[in-house]
Amino acid sequence: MARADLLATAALISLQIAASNGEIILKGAGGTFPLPLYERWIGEYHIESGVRVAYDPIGSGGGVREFLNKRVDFGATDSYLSNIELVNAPGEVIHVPTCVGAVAVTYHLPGKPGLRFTAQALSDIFLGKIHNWSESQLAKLNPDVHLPDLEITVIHRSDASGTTYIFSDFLAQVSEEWNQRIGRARSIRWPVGLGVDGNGNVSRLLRKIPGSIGYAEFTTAHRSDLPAASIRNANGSFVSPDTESISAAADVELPADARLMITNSPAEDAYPISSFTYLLVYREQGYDGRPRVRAESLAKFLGWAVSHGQEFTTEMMYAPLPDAARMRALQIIRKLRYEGKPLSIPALAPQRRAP
Amino acid sequence: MRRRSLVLFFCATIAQGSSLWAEEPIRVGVFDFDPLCSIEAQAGAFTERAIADGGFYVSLLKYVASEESWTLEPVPGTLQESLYRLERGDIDLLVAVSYSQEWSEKFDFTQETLVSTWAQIYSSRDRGIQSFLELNHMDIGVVRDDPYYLELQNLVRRFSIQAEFVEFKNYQDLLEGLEKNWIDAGVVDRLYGLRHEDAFSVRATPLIFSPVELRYAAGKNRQKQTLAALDYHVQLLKKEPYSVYYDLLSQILGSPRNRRIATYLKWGLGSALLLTMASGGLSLFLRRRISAHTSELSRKNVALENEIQRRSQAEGELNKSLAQLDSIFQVAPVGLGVLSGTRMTWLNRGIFDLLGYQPSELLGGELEMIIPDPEDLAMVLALGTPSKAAQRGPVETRLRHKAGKSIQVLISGTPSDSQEQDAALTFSVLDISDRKRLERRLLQSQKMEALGQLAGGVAHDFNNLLTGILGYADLALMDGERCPHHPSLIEIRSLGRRAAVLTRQLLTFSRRQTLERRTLNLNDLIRDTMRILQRTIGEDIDLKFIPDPELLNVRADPGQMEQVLMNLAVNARDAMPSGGHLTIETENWGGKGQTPSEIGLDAANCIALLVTDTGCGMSNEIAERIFEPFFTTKALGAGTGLGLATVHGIVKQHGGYIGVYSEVGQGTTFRILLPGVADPAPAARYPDAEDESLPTGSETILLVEDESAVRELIQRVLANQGFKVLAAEGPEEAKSQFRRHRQEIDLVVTDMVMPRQSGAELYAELSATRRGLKVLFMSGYSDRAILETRVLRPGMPFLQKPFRPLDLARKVRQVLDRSPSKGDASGE
Repeated sequence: MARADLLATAALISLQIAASNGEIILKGAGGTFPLPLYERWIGEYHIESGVRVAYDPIGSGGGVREFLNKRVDFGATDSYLSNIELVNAPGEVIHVPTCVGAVAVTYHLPGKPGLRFTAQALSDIFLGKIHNWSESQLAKLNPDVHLPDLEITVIHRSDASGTTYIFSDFLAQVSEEWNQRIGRARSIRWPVGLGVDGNGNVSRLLRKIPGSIGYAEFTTAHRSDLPAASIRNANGSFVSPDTESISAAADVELPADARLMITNSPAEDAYPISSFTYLLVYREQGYDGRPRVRAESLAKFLGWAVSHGQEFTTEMMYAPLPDAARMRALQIIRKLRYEGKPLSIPALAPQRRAP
Repeated sequence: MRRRSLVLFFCATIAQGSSLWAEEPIRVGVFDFDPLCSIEAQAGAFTERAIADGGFYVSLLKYVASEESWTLEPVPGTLQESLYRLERGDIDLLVAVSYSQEWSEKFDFTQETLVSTWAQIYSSRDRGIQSFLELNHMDIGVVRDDPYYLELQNLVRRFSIQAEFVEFKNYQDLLEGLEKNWIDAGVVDRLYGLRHEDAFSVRATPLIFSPVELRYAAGKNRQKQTLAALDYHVQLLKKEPYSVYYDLLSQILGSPRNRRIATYLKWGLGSALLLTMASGGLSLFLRRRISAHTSELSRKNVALENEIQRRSQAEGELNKSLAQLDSIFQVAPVGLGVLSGTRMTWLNRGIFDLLGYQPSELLGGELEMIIPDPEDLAMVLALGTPSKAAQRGPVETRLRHKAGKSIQVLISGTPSDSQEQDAALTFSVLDISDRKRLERRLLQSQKMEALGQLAGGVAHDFNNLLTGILGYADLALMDGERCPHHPSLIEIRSLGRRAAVLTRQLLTFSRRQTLERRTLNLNDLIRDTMRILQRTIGEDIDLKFIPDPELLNVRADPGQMEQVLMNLAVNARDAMPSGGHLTIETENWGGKGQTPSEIGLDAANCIALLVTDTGCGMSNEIAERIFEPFFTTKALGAGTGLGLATVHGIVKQHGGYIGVYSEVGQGTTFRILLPGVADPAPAARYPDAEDESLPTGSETILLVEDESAVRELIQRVLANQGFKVLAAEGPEEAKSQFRRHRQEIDLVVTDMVMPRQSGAELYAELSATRRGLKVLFMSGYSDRAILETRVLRPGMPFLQKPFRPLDLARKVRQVLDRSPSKGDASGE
């Protein structure tokens, strides 16, 4: 949180400097899901290239809104745009997958026991059907853990969030009741619990409220020293989120536009609440009188993110794009045009460094 | 007392209006907003029994509904959903909506605020918060969908406070969370807080914000009457200290202590907020910001007060102009009304005056009451249908007066701008009885004009023929009784004369009769006529004449006056089949009663002729029409319908006035007014005995007549009497004769109407070459236009066809004996 503030302040200051120097500062806004990684990228990329990038973590919903209103160079979201959103967009939008992340189910219980959940149990908890940690359904799933007689407090996001989309998408796939009553969306009318803005606040509140349970982007939860539960995947295995299990979920053939949900992956060791996260850019970069140099700078940053940037993913507890996905991402970035003509970016040549 | 009756009236109006929905339930949006409203109680389906359930607003609504016999249908949802439904018209009414300028553009609100409330910030027991600025970096509990949430977000943004919001599902969860220190502060509605704060280990801070006036709201222009009824009841309840309103209020406010504080707080909101802020003791910079906001708040407060004052002023002005408008509508000389469905809901005085009803008899009644014709009724109602109204003009129909008579009117209408379910119509009613009457009169006079032309034309030809028939009959009769055909000739002459009378009558009623007016005294004329009149009316009727010995003379055609007396006498006779009295009176009208101004008679110099019978009399409707030609109440074939029309025509032609006064079963009086003259009556009376001998002469006469039968007759008559006659069959021949015998000719006797040149023109031409040439005009056809020509001035010798040989010879002798300068007819 504090770091984000600092960064924003730094970005603001550098914006003022840059403006006087005529330098370019790329602007982006979107989810808090990839925020830890993006913060890292922005720092590293600045060191490497001198280019500044300002990222506003306002949630995936807000990011999409800002992007569609053309107030940022790129948007960031964990839930790709629907066909309807694409049709209504003011230009052809392309999705650049940047990494694979996970939504951790996390909780505040004394002794931080490792817990196991099925989608059904999660659905019942978040629907308010299971009120207490000591209820038998949870005990059965966790025979080795002594669950306290403690009221469950659900903590959820109150803003429009890609994290919420991924989480609800997983529950909707597995729990019919969830699918019927709640469905999948960036914003959900939660029947119970407390709502807060951003993954950071979810984690913070979790730490504050004993007996609480919530969902948050894995890195954020991990940094808050909150446990991440093992979730039963489509294969029947209880898998906890880590780089491997997330990568396993991402080991799929991406469609040409890269839009694909990988929740409830059938892969054996896949963590079932995983998701690609995307940067949104307009294919035609010569809109609203943007200078060519700005378009080129953006394309270079995107190219860097899906190639060199991938080195930092594991460190930040995200999974790197699998090779095939990375190739796909580069293909997609090459689609960028400036006034109808391809942008010639040498960095985008098909050469890469292994993560 | 007056106020009470006003209230009762208002009450009745509301009841009347609301009865429209008695069958249709009012769909009421309810949401959870403890303790003001709750969807929990909807299981009771808003029954009267469960009046205390459902929270303050629902309970009060239920009370009003039971008073108004409304049926309520609860539609539960969240506040957002309910507002959306209200906007779409899916619900009719929504409880506990905060009133604001912005929302009042979207919805209609009750005037009355039922409860004022505001947001209260609570903290946990062990933490005291004194200032808004202390909220910085705190976790603040809010309730999802709570309007205060949005307000607080705006507030912290304005004060640049960094706070995190934690959304709870309801106030209870929030207070629990606060108690457990999950959050540092929480926003709760003050009414909820008053009721429940004791149950939690929390503390009410001095921080309050966002005062709201909660009212009932309805869709724009959808439920004005419902809101009015609510306002009405709430106003009454507020005046009554032990009413349901205060019962419910004390339930939600708790102890009287709290209520007092609440009332106190209500007006101290802004200052309390400011005081707590000021006590914050934070940096000068922040204080400045606060004071900026403070002055903004007080500015807003002043603005609010001004707004209230402006509104009440505007309302007063609106009422005034409404009253003005109403009085304008009331005094408008046309009928105005408003129809809701088929009922008359508003009518102006014009309608009541026109139809003779009292307001209470018509208002709320069906339009059918006054428009008896079902087809016309449907057409008038169709004016209220927007799609049809544009295609339809005004509807002409007859309205039923309370007394039963019908009044011809023109109804125009336009659909009212009304959101009511029934089609509404604003209409105007124009009384067109007078217009219709005038139209009929115009039509009548046009008919008369055409008939006159026809009659005139026919009469002209007829008169020529009759002149021949009668003339030859007279000539043949001169042979005396020796002639074997004598009795037949007598009969021919008699029938011919009757035919002549008919053509004369035809000419008279169309006022194409040439008058031979002279100064006479009506008393003399009447006395002379009495014998004939008595013979005409028969012995069963007692005829009496009451003359005014001082009676002024008149200038009149004696023959026409006789005709008037005869026709009136005949009319009286027919009205008295079994006998009675017929009285003829004369008098000087001057100074007595009034003279109808329209005829422009000089009242002081007027004489009146009154003819009164004691017959059956007649109704006003008949009296209005008796002077119309061919109007008769007699059996078919019994009357020509020309008698009184002829009288009317003669009187009018004499510049007089005729009126009738009649009462059914009592009798009838005809009153004829004629302009009197100061001239003395000539000594020579109208001759009542005829000297049958034909005058003789030896002068030379130029006779111009295109009709050969008449020409030859005249020639024979005049030649028999010793005159030398030069006959010409047209103006051309006449002129050539005149040229040849210019010095011999003493008199020109000419027909008026001839092809190519009129008699008058011919005479003008001839007399131009011979000054003092005498002339006698003849015509069977006399038109006012001819009379008005310069040539045929009044007094110029004129002989109306048909004439007898005697008339001709006398007239010729008369003209010849005149002094050469053109004399005046009055000299006769």
